[in-house]
Amino acid sequence: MKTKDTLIQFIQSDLIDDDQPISSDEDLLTTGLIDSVRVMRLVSFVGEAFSIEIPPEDMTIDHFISVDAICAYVASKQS
Amino acid sequence: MEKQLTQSQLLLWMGQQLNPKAPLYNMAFLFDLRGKFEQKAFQMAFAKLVEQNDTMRTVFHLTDGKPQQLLLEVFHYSLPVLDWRKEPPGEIELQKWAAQRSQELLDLEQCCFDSVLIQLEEHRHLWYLNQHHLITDAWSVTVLYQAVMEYYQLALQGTLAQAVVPPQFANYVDFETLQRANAKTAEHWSNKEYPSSLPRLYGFRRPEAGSQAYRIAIPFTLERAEQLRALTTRKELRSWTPHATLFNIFLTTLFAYLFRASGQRSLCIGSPAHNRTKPAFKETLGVFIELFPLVVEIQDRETFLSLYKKVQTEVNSFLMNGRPGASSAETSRAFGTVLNYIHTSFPPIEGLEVKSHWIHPGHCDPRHHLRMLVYDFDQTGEMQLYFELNADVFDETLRQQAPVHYLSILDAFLQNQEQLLTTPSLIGAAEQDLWLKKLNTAVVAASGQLLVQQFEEQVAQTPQQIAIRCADQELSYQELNLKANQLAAHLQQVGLGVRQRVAIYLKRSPELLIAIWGALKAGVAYVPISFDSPVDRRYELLQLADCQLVLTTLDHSQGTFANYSTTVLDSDQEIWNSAKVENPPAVANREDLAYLMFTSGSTGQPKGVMISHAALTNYIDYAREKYTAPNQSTFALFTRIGFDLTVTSIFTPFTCGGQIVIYPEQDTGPDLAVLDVMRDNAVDIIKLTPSHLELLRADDWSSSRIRLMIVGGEDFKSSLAQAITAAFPAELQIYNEYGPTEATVGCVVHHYESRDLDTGSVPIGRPTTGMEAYVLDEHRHLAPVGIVGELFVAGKGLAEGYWKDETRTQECFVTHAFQAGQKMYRTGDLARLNTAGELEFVGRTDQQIKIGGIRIELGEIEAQLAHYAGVEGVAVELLEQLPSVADESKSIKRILVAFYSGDQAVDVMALRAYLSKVLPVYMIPSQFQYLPALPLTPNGKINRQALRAMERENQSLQSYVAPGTQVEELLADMWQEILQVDQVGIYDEFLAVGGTSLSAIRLMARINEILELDLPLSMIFQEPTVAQFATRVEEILAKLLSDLEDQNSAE
Repeated sequence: MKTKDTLIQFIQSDLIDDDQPISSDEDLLTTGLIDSVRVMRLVSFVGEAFSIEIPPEDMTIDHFISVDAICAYVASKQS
Repeated sequence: MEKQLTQSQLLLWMGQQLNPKAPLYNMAFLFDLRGKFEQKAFQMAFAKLVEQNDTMRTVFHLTDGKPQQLLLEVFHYSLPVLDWRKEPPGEIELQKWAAQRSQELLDLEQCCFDSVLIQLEEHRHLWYLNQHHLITDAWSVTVLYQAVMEYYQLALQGTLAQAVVPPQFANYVDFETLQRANAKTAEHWSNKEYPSSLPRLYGFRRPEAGSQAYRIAIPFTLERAEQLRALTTRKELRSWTPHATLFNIFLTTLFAYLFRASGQRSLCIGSPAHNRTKPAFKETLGVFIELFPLVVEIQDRETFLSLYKKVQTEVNSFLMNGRPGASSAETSRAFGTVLNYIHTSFPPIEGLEVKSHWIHPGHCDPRHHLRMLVYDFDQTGEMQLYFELNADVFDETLRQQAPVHYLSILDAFLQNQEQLLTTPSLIGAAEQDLWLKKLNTAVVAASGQLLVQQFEEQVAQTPQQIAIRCADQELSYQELNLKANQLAAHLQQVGLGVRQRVAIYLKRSPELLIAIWGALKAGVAYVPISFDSPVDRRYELLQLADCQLVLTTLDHSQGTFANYSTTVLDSDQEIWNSAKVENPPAVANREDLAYLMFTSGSTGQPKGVMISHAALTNYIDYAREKYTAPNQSTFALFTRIGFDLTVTSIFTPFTCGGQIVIYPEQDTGPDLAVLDVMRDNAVDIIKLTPSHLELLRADDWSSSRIRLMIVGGEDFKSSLAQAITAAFPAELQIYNEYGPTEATVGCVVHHYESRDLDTGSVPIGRPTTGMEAYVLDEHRHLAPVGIVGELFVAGKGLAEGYWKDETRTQECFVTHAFQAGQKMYRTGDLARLNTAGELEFVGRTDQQIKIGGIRIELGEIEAQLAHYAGVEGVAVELLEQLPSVADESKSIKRILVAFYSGDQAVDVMALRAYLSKVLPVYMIPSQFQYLPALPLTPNGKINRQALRAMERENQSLQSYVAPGTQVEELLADMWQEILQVDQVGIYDEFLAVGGTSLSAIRLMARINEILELDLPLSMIFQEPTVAQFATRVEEILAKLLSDLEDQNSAE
């Protein structure tokens, strides 16, 4: 639960131009909500905030397409 | 307000300083506005734009040797309006005007843009805007356009005063300065490994290119765009966003193209990071983009998909680390190719129909040999692709073909991403036609008669004519034929015929020719053994060839060949007493062997090349057609019979009523019969090697009777051809004939013309009659024009294979790439097709060496050296240099050593300076060794083994050479001070001793200050050593002094 909130907060305050609300299953990427430069900031943030090592081959759309997807990825790395 | 430059600006500023006269960074646009338009309102809008955006009011200048930007508070710019309604120009004139205007240099100290409004018709205006890249980028232009149009609407409504002040560029400069202090990303880029050299596209190898460039539109259909977009949803390719996926695809295909167009595997492409990382930056005018290098290493059997995966990872790292201020002169030196993928466009304006054009100023950063621009218009689904091609790297032909080659790669990607990068052919249909139809005209010679029958026919026509002269001895056609018939009868009598072999070991003599014709008539293949070959070699050949008989002279039959069956031509009188005088019936079929000739491979093991009657006939038919003329067909026989070059002289005259003059070997010493030929002055046609010509170049041969030279066996340098042309009468014709023994003497030929001068070597030209030639890449695709590949030959002259060596035969005589059921021979020679449609010899595949991963052809270096006045013969070798005592690594270094001949040793320093203008640094030999003459092999070719073995003079080149002159001393001091090094030798290269672009600026500022000169920044890169620089400075000072004296005396 905490992971999800942290992520939503970061995305809203740092990545999206206006503070529009987002839901955890919302497609962040294919909709153009977050561009490819900012998605890298998201990747860096995920690595630092949850203390996980994200190898380049894991930096894929499937792992980062939505807040839910990121949560699942983080959980898989932490277990 | 004065501010330092952002890193991106600094690099642009330096680029401009290096090319002060070229409009490299002019970003000019022309907006075509149709509809009702208020000029006054637009002028007010533009004035407002300048007033509200600091970047529009920015100028640049040097403060204490450092470039600074000055953001002026007050800056008036009144947009000029031109009225062209009376004589409105046509579209072409308009384009011309825009192109010209876009090339005007902007004075960075005064105003960094140029804009004008033009009225063409009542309801048609053109708005021209040119900005220096220092104050704009593609994104900025769209923001600017939107701002102006918004102000225009406000001005129309009379509410311009309400315009909100947008964010300013100064904020970004401050932000970037802070970011730059964050060393983490900069470290990423400085730790990254970059390719050691730029890919040599289409064989480009000059040290540097100029700035002139062309923008070429790549025909890109909507269908292709749709196919591409469809791929973005493929699971294997899907990246962060559809745009990111498209960018990755373009990057992957561009890498694949670079690999295929250069052969280089370590590749780097620069691409811009937009750097507009904050919402406010998206609304700010100014240059934000910063180029960062993307690097891949192409592996063996790389597929498009596996490359795509690498690219994807590399792009992620680029996105992660491509932060404001993190680039440097070093990162920007890493690439010579740029990919710019743009998906912003100019939105339409209410009440106006707007068309925009980005005008290319005809110049680009000279380091960028290739820039690819992709415009992705989301609204229409359309894509536009452009190549911006450096004019020095891509000549006119290549500018047509390069886009086709790229599209071949892109289409291959669209078709099947799992295929190898090397699978698709680069060249398009038009280029393929050039190869298959124009170069290889499938001419079928209809003669049909084999050589022996042609000779017999000639005998019947001219029985009394002299066929052979040797000193005082003469033989008529009839006499020669009679003896050949007698010998043939003898051979048949002892049971010899087709599929059997006789060795011939004879001096160059009438008997030699009788022996050859006798063997051919009897249907027996002859195995020539050169007279001066060592005894062991003679035995080896006899053994290898499994000869049934040796044709020789008495002394040798009792000596060397005592244990073999011999026929002794000078004492076996019964042969010549035989009554048989008629021509024997033709026994040999077309595919039966005429001769078996042994050549030494690089391993030293002799290889027997089997040449059939058909192959030999094909060559001689060609030679007669091309070289002989009535009453002017006397050939000289003076080269070794075991060398297939000699075949031309042995047979050609006898099929056209010509004559042979024989020049025998001397009993001792090297075979210098070529000098006898020249002194005797009794022949019209001579077949010889370039090394033979070297012996002749210095003398005056203006009264020589020779009217035609056929040069073969070795690379023929243009400088030598030129010297020979000058030494002989003007009527002399020179043919450069190329051909491995395996393709019978000559299969590609070029008629030398003085216009060939500008290339290092004389081209080898086009295939001879009945022959074909192809330059193929390592995957057996036709190589595009200009690209070096291996030369393959095919046709009627191909050997039957190697004698008793099926493995080697299969290795070298391979399946024909273009004609079913045929073979082609891989020559092991490197060649390329030039834009004139001629083949050029480049070197041997085994002479292609690698230094630091860069492929180098020694032949290229030799060609440039041979151009230098005073250098005659030349050979470059890669040799191992033992480590010096001082070198602690104790590693063995490999260095290039140039051996050259000429009247005397040349000034190495001047030679080096010359080479540095025509070759990249890594291709310049480390040592130059003068020899009065280069050692030759018995066949008259340069003896490379002897060179390699030659004891090098014990003068290993010193790395540190102290300054000698006052100017050198002064310069070396300044170098040491600015580069912070203890010692600078006068031959040390600026970049090699730690020079950077920034230190170059400081150094040049310092030099100009001390010497009171105004030297351009580029000089330090043109004259990169203290020694070279000092020479230039001395020249300049001397010129100034003499000008001053002239002035004084005039007064």
